[in-house]
Amino acid sequence: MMLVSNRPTGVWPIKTKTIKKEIKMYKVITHSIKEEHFGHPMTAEAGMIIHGNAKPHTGHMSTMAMYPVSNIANSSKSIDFRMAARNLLDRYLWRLRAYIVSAIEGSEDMAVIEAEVFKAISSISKVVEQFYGTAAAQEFKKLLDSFSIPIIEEARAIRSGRSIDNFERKIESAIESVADFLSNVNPESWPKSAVKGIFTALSKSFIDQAKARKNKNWMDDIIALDQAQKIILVGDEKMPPFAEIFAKGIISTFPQKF
Amino acid sequence: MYKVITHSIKEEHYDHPMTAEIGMGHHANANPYTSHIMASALVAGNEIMLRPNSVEFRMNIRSLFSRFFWRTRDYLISLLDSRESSDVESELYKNIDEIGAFIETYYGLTTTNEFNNSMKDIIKSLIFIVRDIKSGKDLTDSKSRLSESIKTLANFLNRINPTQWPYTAVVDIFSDLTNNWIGQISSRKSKDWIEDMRLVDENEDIMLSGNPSTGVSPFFEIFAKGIIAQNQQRFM
Repeated sequence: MMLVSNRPTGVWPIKTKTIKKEIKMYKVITHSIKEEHFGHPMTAEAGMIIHGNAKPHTGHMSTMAMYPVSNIANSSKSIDFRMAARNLLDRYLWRLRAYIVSAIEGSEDMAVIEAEVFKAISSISKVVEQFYGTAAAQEFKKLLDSFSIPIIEEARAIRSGRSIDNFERKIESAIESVADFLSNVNPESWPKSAVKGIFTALSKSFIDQAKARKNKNWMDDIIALDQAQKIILVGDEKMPPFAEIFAKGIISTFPQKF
Repeated sequence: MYKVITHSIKEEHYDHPMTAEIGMGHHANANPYTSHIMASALVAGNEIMLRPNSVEFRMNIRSLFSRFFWRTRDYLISLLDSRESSDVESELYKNIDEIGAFIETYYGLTTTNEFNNSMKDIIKSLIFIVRDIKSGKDLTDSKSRLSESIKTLANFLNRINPTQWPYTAVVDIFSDLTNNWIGQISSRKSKDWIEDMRLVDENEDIMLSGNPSTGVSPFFEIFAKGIIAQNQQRFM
């Protein structure tokens, strides 16, 4: 298993078979690991989230509860994969951020950065393709594009002082579709209300950056940027970062590949 | 209990192809490319790195370096575009302090302060360079100041962890990183947006992603794994 990207990045699936031919093995360690899985106290609640009856906050907690630390998530391949997911989502986050900075300033690099945003989305979709197939990856790419485009358009509207209502509606609709898609392909790891909560908070943090920069309120800009980074990469005591939710969701669905 | 799964996992550890070159790092004439790989080789292949504590530590260090890395670019662009703000500059130094706070547990307060100051000196030198680029001044003096700041950081890191953070590797990594930041500012000044993004990609590889085709680890991993390797008992 390896991640495919439009340029070399992230996970390094060392070509073990090739290396074996060239260099001498010096150590073998054999582990025998027994996992005991218990019914989790939040199982009932997790079911509620899948059925859309829980608040986003509760959804976050349940998403965490579904990821007990397991040996699979800490295998060498899994860790590479989790790191790679961070690289890909970090790249998406910062390119969208760069676009917002340029859009508010009316900088001439907007077209170049916009293309970079979509390249970053393509790279994430290629991960989906490896596990869920081409059609699912194409659908996911289309949905992430649909989530990002109105954010891009709204940033431009904020710069020019136009109404943003239409873009807000488009973002809301895109979030619904992304959440539907992810909960359909992986209902246990990516319950709809949790995904909705995450993407709603993420879009708000991007729009808040645009508004703060428009008002030259640089500290509010940094606060909103921190929020985006927290959602995607850092997490907090209530919610793991989306990069982990995304990666561990794939790992737990396809443990044999890790 | 509803399920028991038993795994039998066999780890096979191989000599790293770069082992022979590790010793070269302390020689001033080692080429930059080799020294990056060398630093990567030093931290590779240790099972301690896969322990949950270590993984969490590596990911936390990644988040801190990501914030520092991107905000540095953001701020340098703001300087070029005359949107400088002392508050935002202070935030950048706070990011460095956050990295420092993370390593204080392992090296103590005095050492951490030295790390913070060395990193901040690099940023201050970069700020001088951006101001010089903006005003079209010669960069010789400001680049010389930057070079000294990088050497100070490399000397410091090499002193506290000579096995994991060899002087030449740190100098090479930070020289490449800062040259790319300077290149981004120069490209933006001349409105060469494609070159700007190319250098962003290159810098991401150096700091956050690494480069699978060359086998080079990102700096955050060299940094995090260096701490883990030196303090293994704390990650058991």
